[in-house]
Amino acid sequence: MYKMNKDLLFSGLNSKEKKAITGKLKSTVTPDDLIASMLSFLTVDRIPLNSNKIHSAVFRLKQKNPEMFKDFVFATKDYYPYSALLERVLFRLQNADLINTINPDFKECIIGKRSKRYIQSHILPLFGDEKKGKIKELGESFQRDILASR
Amino acid sequence: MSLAKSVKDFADAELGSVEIESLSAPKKIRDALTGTFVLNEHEINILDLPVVQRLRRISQTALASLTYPCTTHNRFQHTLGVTNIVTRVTSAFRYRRGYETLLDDDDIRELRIAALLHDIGHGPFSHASEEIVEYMPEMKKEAQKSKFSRVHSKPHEILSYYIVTSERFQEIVDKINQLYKLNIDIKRVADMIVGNMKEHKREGYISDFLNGPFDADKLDYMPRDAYFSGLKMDVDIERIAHTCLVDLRGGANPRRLCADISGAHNLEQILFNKVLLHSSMYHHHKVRAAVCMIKAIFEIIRDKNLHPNGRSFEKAIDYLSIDDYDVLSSFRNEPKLKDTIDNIRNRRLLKRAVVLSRKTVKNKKNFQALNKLMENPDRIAMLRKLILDEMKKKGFNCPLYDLWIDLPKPPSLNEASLCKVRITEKDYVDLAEVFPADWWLTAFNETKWRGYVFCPPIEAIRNAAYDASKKVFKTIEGIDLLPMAKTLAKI
Repeated sequence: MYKMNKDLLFSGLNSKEKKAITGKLKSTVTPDDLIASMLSFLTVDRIPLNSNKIHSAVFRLKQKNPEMFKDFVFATKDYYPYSALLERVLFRLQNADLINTINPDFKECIIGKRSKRYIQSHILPLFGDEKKGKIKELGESFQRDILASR
Repeated sequence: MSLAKSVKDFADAELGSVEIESLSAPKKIRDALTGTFVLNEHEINILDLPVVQRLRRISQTALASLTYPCTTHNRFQHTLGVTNIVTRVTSAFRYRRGYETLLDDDDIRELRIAALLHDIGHGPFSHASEEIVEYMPEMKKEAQKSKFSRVHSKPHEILSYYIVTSERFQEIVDKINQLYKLNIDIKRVADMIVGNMKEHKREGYISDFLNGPFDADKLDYMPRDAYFSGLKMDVDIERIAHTCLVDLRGGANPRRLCADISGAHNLEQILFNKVLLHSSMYHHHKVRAAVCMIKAIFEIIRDKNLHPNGRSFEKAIDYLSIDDYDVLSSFRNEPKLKDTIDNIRNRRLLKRAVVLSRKTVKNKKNFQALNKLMENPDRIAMLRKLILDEMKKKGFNCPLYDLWIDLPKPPSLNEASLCKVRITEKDYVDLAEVFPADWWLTAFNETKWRGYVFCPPIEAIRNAAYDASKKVFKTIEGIDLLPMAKTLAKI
């Protein structure tokens, strides 16, 4: 039979601890939030689904904005700058239906209007007003870069 | 103390008493998977080092053997397999017309040594303890250093690198060089392990044999894990070896290993196997439950300020000083750890209370809230506390260490876009252009990916954990769980 250590039973949270945890959970901003928010400012709905182009564009953004993208570590040994975290973020955004790919060609990535609205109402508010403007700039810059390399 | 310094102290302690003696004959090694091969005298000296022998006591796939009973193979066996495969692939490569000078004897000798040493930085239960170490601030800081970030080094590769570049290790290799009149450059071996050959001649393709899109590491672990688990999948190592080329174009493209178009489908097979191994074995709910229980042991140690084997396990180096046997035996002397370890030893594993997937969450866009939990153990720990608090209010309690939210990382499929395929002497394309295997498999993976809430295997507690999770996920993360989240958990 499974043994539970009675000495380690959870002691519970008081209201102050609970409030602190809830506050932290609701305010934490993650790398996923940054990429999603940036994509919500694209004025086009479709971008090329090309790892090389996407990773390279975010890498260039990181070079200009190292603090914003500090979590994204890029391997530069390969044919293009590659970030394992960015790959996982894109997978997760797809998993959440915020970005979509078109079967069976997988040539384009769609960030639809509904996704953009969702991100701007649910995720973007996590960033302060000052950062929102910056993220909009990042989105515009990302779009210019990725469409220019088409 | 810096990680490099603490690894240096570790190497002094572990290797201080090692004496290298001249051996008179090579050894023939039988590997159940890759066949018989020969290790030369100097390689046996290296194989006999305590830091390599320790790998006999580090399981390759953590506690997967509790689900797939034959999966008892260890890092030592894998290490030998990688050494055999790197030899076969480089031999086939060098045999090609025009390739004779692309690899010399020193390259192959050092690649074989790098293969023998590439996993010595693994902690107990391999990737299970790596899931703890990778989030340690000191390891995050190391991973940001350019020599490691440039090649995306994993924590165990960084630790292997520091052991191999320690002064004590250098002394050992100096002695080996002297005894056998060799010229092994141990710094170059260390750089091969992390895949960073920037400072050396022939950058790129040399380390690709051990650390690239279709390296000997993958060519061994995939068929080995599949074979010992009983999953039917294969990798055509010979075909890959004979279709392996160098991208000889100059300019902005560094020379890297690539594949002839006639070998492209064998590389696609690697990607398919990778996804299947994840969905069938590495991410199997029982395998993941066991991983959470290993993490629980170290969480108890840190929270309760315990010191089994004299270590606090707050630093990466502490995980190099122990192996699987220590965790499952001597750690039992600590009363607060005994129950968890006994549960593992007797295969009394945590069970699912909730299954998280695209099929079990009402509004898929809310999955984004779940995504935010991934790769954030602190955030997950907070949510675990809220779930337990909710359970406690309903009269159910268990230790924090028995309740887990597990959101495993999806497998990386970057090989498809990082690997070039040669069509003609002038025309090279990404493997992904031959067939978009990466995105195809990403789509497949989306439907396969599962996250879990695990709790003790007691029906009432599982029900309470489900109810509490449903409430907390809704309140805090805005996630509506569908009844399928409970149905799939088989409560």
